[in-house]
Amino acid sequence: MRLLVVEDDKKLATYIVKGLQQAGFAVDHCADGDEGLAMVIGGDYDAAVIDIMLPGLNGLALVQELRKQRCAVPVLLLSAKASVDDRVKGLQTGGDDYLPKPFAFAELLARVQALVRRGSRAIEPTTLEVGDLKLDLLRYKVTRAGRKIELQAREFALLEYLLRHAGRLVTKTMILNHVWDYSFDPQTNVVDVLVCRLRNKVDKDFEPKLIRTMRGMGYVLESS
Amino acid sequence: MSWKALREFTRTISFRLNLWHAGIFLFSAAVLFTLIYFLLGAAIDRKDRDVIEARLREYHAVYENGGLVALQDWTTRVNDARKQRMFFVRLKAPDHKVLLLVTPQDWFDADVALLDRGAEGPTDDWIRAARNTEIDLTVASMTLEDGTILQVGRSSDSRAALLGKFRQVFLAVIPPVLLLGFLGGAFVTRRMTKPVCSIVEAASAIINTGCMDVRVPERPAKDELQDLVLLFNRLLQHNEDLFRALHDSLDNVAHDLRTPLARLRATLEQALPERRGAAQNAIAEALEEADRVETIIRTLMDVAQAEAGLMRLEVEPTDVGSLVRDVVELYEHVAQEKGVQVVNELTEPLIVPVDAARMRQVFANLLDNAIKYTPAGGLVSISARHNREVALTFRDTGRGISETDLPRIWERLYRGDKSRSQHGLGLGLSLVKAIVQAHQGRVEVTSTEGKGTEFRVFLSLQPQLQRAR
Repeated sequence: MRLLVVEDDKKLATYIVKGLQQAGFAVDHCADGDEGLAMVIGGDYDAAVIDIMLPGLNGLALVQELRKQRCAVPVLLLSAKASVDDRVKGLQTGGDDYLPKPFAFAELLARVQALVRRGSRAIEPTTLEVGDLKLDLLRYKVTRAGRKIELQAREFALLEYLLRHAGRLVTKTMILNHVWDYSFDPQTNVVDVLVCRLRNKVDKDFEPKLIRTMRGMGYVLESS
Repeated sequence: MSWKALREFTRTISFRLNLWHAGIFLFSAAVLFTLIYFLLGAAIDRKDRDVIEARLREYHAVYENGGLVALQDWTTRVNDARKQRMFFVRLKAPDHKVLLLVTPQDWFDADVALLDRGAEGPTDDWIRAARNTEIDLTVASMTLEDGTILQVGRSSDSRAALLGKFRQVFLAVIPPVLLLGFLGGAFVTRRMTKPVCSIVEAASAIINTGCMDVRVPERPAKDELQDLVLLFNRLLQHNEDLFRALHDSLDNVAHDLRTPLARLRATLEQALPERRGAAQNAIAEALEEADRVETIIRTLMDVAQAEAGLMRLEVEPTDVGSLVRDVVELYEHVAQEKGVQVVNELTEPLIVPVDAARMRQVFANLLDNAIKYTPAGGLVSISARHNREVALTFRDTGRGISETDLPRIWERLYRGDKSRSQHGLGLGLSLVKAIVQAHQGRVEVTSTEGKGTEFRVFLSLQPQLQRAR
């Protein structure tokens, strides 16, 4: 999987490129809009991460030009601007997704993976499994070590989301977006509360503990 | 046209102007008619009288000179010379004995009787009596020196008939003229007030859609309304420029804050997995603080945008009941953990034109506050009333807000002393107020210390300013 990152901020660019490489992608980078356009069209990329504010051609114009030239590479736009307008504009001009700065890398990675996956949709699994924890998507049943666990709707949704991202970092924002479909932070941390409840049911009476808190980052579900 | 549309129409300037015009026109036409009516009547009278008076003087002179015989002779001769007897002549002695009577060919005996019935009053006077609907009889009387009474008269076209015809013509002509005037007036005033309508249209388009580049179409005319349109457009241009400048500077501030924050985050995230123990803790804490700063920036930007009128709202008819349910569900576990009971009394759908995402944010902030400041065992209830506007009430049994704090809770970053220990931003309520006001709504709060607080959100059921046509 080859990705192109078009970002003029050196520090951020290095961080994104490194992270994506660690996640197993082949990553190219450039810091200029015009150069970026030439590279996307010339190269064979599976997705591109493009900042909106760029020297030369700006990100929105770049995407517009790409779409005009019938280039359908999935694009994730990054922006540090204030308004939702940018998000709307970005998606209208042909961007596939939008991520405001600052962001957690886990979130960027999740979105890039979603973009890349879009082209080659794998067969939906009917059960999700990590260690001795099993979640049956068809019967809405959860078991651990063979014992049935009763979950409420939101707890189930959270567990499903964590299982789908097993082994990967999931941020609070990502959980908020996917479990409740909320795009803003409530002041009180509802995510913490929900994760805590889920832990009580899934991890408390079992070993090893599957849900790990990464302080300052989010949560990981894995059977280490 | 429905009743409401009709009532709306009758409120327009064009309609009222027209109504006034029609009223004034009708009034002046009526005055003119009355005047003409009486002048015409007087003129008809005058014409008959002049002729009869001349005759009366003539006969009088003849009688003075030659007495009854001369008068008799004269009337015969005059009537013969004119081939027909046109005038009625009667000479009565003071004792009412008739000395001479000449009746015209077209007079009947009844006519004389008719005259006598009217002649009881002062003798030196005029009598006008209608024989029938077409003919009037006019007679002038004169008391001579010797006490005899000389009467001269003749028949003439009925004054009533003439005036009646005039009346008919007037009544037949006025309604169509009035209608024509009204329609013409409606057309003209509509044309004249069109710039006003387009100004209203432009203004409501701007308010409803937030698109600042709407302008009032200009016309070639050079009148006051055109001046108004030009000035209004200049004002809009000015506003748009200011708007854009404000928007850009907000954007730049956001950009300048977010970019270093993004770098900070990147550095911290990269460093985190490589460290252990105290260093890792410090980095994690720094990351959490970075997130908090980001939330503050975002909320501040939202407040600034909403307060400056820059917040773009996607207003659609939305069931606020379902928004409240969403929010209650979001906080369900938090409330349970805290031992606070949340009761949602909104059972029926309540459709209000709002931006769903923004309104959900408002409700979430209010519910968040209510739960945060209510001790275990407390109750938070959400209810709604609606008549012309919707009032959503968030009531809690928390510790309340002190009177000194109450007016200041909406201020940015204001936090009453007692709540300093609580985790929060102090921006939530400013955001609530700004978003609600961006919806042309308002927020109110009442609180009793130690008993609880009640926040009310009022939202208009009408999308803003729908009157423009």
